[in-house]
Amino acid sequence: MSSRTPTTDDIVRPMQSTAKWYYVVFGVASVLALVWFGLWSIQLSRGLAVTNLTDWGSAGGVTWGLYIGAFIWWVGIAHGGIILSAAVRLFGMKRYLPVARLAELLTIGALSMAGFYIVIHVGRPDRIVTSVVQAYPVTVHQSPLVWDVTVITMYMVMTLTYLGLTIRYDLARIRDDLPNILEPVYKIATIGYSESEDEVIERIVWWLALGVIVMAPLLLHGGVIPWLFALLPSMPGWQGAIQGPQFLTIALTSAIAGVIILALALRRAYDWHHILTDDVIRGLTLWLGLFSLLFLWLQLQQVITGVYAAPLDQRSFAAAKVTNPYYQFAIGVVLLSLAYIFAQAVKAHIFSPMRSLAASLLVLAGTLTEKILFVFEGLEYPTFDMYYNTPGHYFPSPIEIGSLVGTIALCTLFFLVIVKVVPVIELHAIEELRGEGHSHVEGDD
Amino acid sequence: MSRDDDSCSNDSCGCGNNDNTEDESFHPMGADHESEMREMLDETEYDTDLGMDMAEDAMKLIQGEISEAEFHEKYNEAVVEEFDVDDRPTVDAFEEMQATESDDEHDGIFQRLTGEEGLVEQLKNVDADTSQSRRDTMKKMGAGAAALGLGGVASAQSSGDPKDDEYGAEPVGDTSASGTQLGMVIDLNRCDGCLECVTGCIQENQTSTGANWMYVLTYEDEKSEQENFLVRPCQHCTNAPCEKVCPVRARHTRDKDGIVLTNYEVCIGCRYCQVACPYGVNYFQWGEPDVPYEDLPGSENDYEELKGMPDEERHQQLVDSNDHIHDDRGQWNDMRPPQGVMGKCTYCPSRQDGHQGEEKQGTVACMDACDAAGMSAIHFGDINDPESRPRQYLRQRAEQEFERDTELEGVDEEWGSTVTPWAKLSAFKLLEDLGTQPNVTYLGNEPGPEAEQIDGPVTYEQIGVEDNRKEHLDQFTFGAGDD
Amino acid sequence: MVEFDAWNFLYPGTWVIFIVIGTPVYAAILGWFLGKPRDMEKALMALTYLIGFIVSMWVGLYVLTQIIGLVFPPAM
Repeated sequence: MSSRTPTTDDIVRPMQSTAKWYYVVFGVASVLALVWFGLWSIQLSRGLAVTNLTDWGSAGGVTWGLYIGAFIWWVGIAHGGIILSAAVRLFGMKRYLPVARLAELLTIGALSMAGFYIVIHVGRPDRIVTSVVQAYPVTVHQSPLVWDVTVITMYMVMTLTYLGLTIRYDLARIRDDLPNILEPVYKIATIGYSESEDEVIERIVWWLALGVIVMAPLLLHGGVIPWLFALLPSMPGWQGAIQGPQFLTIALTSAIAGVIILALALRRAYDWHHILTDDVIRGLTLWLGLFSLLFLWLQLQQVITGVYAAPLDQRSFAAAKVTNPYYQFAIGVVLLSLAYIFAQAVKAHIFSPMRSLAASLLVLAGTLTEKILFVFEGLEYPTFDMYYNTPGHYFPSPIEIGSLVGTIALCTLFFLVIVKVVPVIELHAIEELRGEGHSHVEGDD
Repeated sequence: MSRDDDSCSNDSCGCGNNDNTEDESFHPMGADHESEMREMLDETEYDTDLGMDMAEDAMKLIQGEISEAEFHEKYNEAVVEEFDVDDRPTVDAFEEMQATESDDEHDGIFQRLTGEEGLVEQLKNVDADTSQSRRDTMKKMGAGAAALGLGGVASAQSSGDPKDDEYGAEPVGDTSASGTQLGMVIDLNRCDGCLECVTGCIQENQTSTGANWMYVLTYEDEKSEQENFLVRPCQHCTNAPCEKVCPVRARHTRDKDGIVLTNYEVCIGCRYCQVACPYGVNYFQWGEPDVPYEDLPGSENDYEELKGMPDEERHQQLVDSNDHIHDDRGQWNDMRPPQGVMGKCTYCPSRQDGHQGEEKQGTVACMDACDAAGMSAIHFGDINDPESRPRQYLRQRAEQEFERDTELEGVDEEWGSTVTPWAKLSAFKLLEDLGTQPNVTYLGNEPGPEAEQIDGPVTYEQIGVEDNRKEHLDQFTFGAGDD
Repeated sequence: MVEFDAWNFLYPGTWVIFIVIGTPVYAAILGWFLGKPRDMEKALMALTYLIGFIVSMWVGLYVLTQIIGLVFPPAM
């Protein structure tokens, strides 16, 4: 509802000038990232003993903690890309076209951080590629970790392909406004381009979006990732078919929250209020509310099942979970966000972009907390709990917390760089808003 | 060890016990009756020992532990030597077996494919509903594939091919009745919580502080008043979840003897095996190992070189260098793991493969320590071999329990009529309903759901072993440790 | 009691990866080649992107991990 009309100038603005805030943010993010690399180096040389992780059982600790929790969290955030793209390309929700590419880029950034967490988490990162690849023909048939690696790879490359194909349209048309220094990059990216390919490419990416919308939410974050935990005989807190749906709702909530934060940050930075409009934010906020509700509903399932008359080992875990103040915090902040979202749905004037930003941040904090808790509390309450050192103990160490700061900083840096290389808002979106849309997208909003 | 083996100089090896007054006759009517039989045989001109041995095996035949053909074959030579003929009724079964064997050798490809033992028959027998051992199934499929020249199909399985890595492809399986499966029988009633096994294991493997591969829990349980012990080595499960989940095949079951090992050269330290194992037997090398690599016997051997050698040469090299860290494939999987890699009880493969001398083959450090301490609670061996130490011990204890039980009740129960000795023995496996198929059988009280570990008669502190590894590792936590 | 060990039938990963997860991927790739408007050249280009990204991702990861191994040799 802005009087300004979007132009191509808007989307090339980040590449043509650099404001002071950019340098400040870049500087801070770089420092934080460097601090993290320093901490990581300490871990690489001294081993994982620098964390608060220990063996479970007689040793009294837990062996998976923040690193795995954060890995799951980042994969969840990564789902924003496909959700938005599917909404636009498969379900015809043109309203979200302006934010779709941002979300896709968030997928790349977040998946990269997730992959990085695996490298951080393992004891022998130097062998991770050689060992996994040589065993792959056998292990793909049996190890949930290998399924995880397979599907994450597929999600990543399908998204990259999607981006690589859709960017051609934009780059071909706005080439002259792009920095010359990157000309070789653009040349490769648009190799063999001709306008006649547009329709074909649209169809190709439609198929890609279809494949990914089935694969990523249902089979990655709602599939192979929860299966890492749910299929095991050892930890009652993890067992069960509910983990699939539970993890899916976490992906959906974290994804939308991530997109909202990104959209608000960038529209403020580049004066894009007439493109990434309040209308878009409002819509995303409602979806965040729906997914948060589903998340809480599935938590309810687990709580009631665990406390009513569950077998003893499940009961211990459930009791520990609900009495844990950090769990209460996680659920509390999601409830709080949901309350706001419900309120603004009833009374529109309650909505504000800042409040939606706050709700998104709270949801991200809540889902991260819940995920880390899930990982280590599951290990604190094993089936074989005879040991006097079970339940075990764990709280994230400084280095582990440092990894969170470090990966957020790295993701920020990723965006700071990418925003200068490619247009993060689709040209199609500008055309659509100007009424010049080619109706590539199915149906109408 | 077998009953015929006289080399055991130790009184308490399962064949005799300080505080056990029960006799150990194989005969259901007891040692007195056995002696009578022996006297009668002595009065004849024929070999008494042969007669007694055959009688013992005849009991096994009745129990179904050996087949007629096997019984016949075992004594055929000796009987012919003694009596010039062997007309025992088992001769038919024996001749049938011989006929089948010689047939197989001369079968052409058609016969191999379609004959009784042929590929077609074998494939028909592969049925989702049978309880056929998975290891057997995979072996047959490998053999079948080999018969068709499809070497590649069998490549992931142990096929006898010298280049085979002998990993044993299948991470699942029912305990195969054929093939070696190393395991243990642990008599918790004999254990007194002395923790000698724990110390023995640490010394053998040079594990780092708090990595207690062998572990003993003294526990209290509302079910029983007495002091309870639970000895917890790795269970070397036949259906091991740790092996299934390993993303790099570092954790694997060695096909030749069914032990579950970690390939230290391949493990990436993801710790998924540790997460999947319900028993808590895995201990990760979180930092630099306490004992440097150079101090480990066999570290001078280069594993690339070892793997390139022909089997005989490699074996010789490993024996000559008293190598404790490589198994006979040249794989580094014994003793403590390097930094960033997972370790656990290994059943001492360098001992099993003879690198530490022949006398140590078939033994493990914890069992040796327990024997030396006079307890002999741990009995390690091939649980598929009826003559192995654990199997013999189990049989012996079953008979004792049966005797004691029938004596107490004052009832003259007959062997095999209403109840067998096995029913009287309190034997269990840990967490059996999780389906892991562990290969450690315990004798004694099974811990209930509310069982909790308590300090034992000997504490870990007293023997200088760190029990709470977290306390130890906390000092290395960066930014929050005691540095 | 029904005796059925799924692992004796097919290892779970075989059908999880190659049937369940495979289906959306196969569908997408097939759609490129069989869907309309059909353009073999562009479909192949898309496939090249896909495979190219898989390879570069893993090669890049390999390089990173080798550097880690060189700079921080772990204690044996």
